[in-house]
Amino acid sequence: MARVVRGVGWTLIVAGAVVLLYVVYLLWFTNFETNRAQNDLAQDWSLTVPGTQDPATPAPDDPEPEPEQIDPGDAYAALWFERDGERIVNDDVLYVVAGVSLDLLRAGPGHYPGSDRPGGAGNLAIAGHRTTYGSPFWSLDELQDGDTIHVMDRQGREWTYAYREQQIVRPQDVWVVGDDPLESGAPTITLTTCHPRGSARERLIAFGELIEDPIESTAGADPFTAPLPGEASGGGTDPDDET
Amino acid sequence: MSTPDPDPIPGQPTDAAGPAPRSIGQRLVRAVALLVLIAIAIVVLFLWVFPWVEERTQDPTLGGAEVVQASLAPR
Repeated sequence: MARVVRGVGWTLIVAGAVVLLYVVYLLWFTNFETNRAQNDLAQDWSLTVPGTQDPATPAPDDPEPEPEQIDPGDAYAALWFERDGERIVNDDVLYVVAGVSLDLLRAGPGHYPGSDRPGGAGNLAIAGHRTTYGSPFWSLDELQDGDTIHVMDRQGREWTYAYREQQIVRPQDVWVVGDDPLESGAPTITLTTCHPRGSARERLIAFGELIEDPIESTAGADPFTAPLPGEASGGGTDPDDET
Repeated sequence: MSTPDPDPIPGQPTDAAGPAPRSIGQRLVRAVALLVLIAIAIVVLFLWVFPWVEERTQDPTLGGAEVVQASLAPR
């Protein structure tokens, strides 16, 4: 009898340790994994994507580039959010990978295969983790009217979407990543993440609509050297001047 | 006056009815079996249990990637 009790006790201790280690892995180590993947994607992006172009004013002789075949897991787009010229939701530019399998989403937000391209006439749908794996969409619920969602495609064109609304839906409500979820007829972006935080019971959805006449991005022509929140959005600010 | 029992000799049974000591070979077999069990448990945890938990707690997609892909395929 004593052996059985001792065995059960050890089993519970080991099980508790495993659960604890798993939680530590989820909350800490997954962030390292994603940061490393994002750094790799940034490197790939800087080598393969040309400088920013204004999507509203394409060069007259510049034909529409052929859609590029992007393998699952490769950098599909860059994504960031702004409010009054300052980054929100995430301090860093998020590199979006092609595909939304859980494996691929370890590297960062993912583009739903089959949804439209950035700047397309349909719906550009992107999924991202709310918690763990860098928590790219941790603060997605803080978006409000007037905020903008910026997407740069692999041709270096920046597309700006105006935030419209957010909804809490069930996991099976796939209509939100359909062609025209807002039934507005306008090109749309749909961002999906878990809700509530730490649970996949529901999904938080943020919608935006493409701004036909994009406002000038106050993040500057190059989002990757854009000022971080708290820095002056105008040019010429020396980071060392921050107090 | 009675004298106290001498200390038991290590490796020797203290009681004639107690379990017989294990040989080094038996201990080795037990240790290897335990290690194999732990290894199997780790593999099962990381290959099936943790991904299963993750799918239920960390999936930000709609209906899972397969459902989404199926719903978007005929475009």
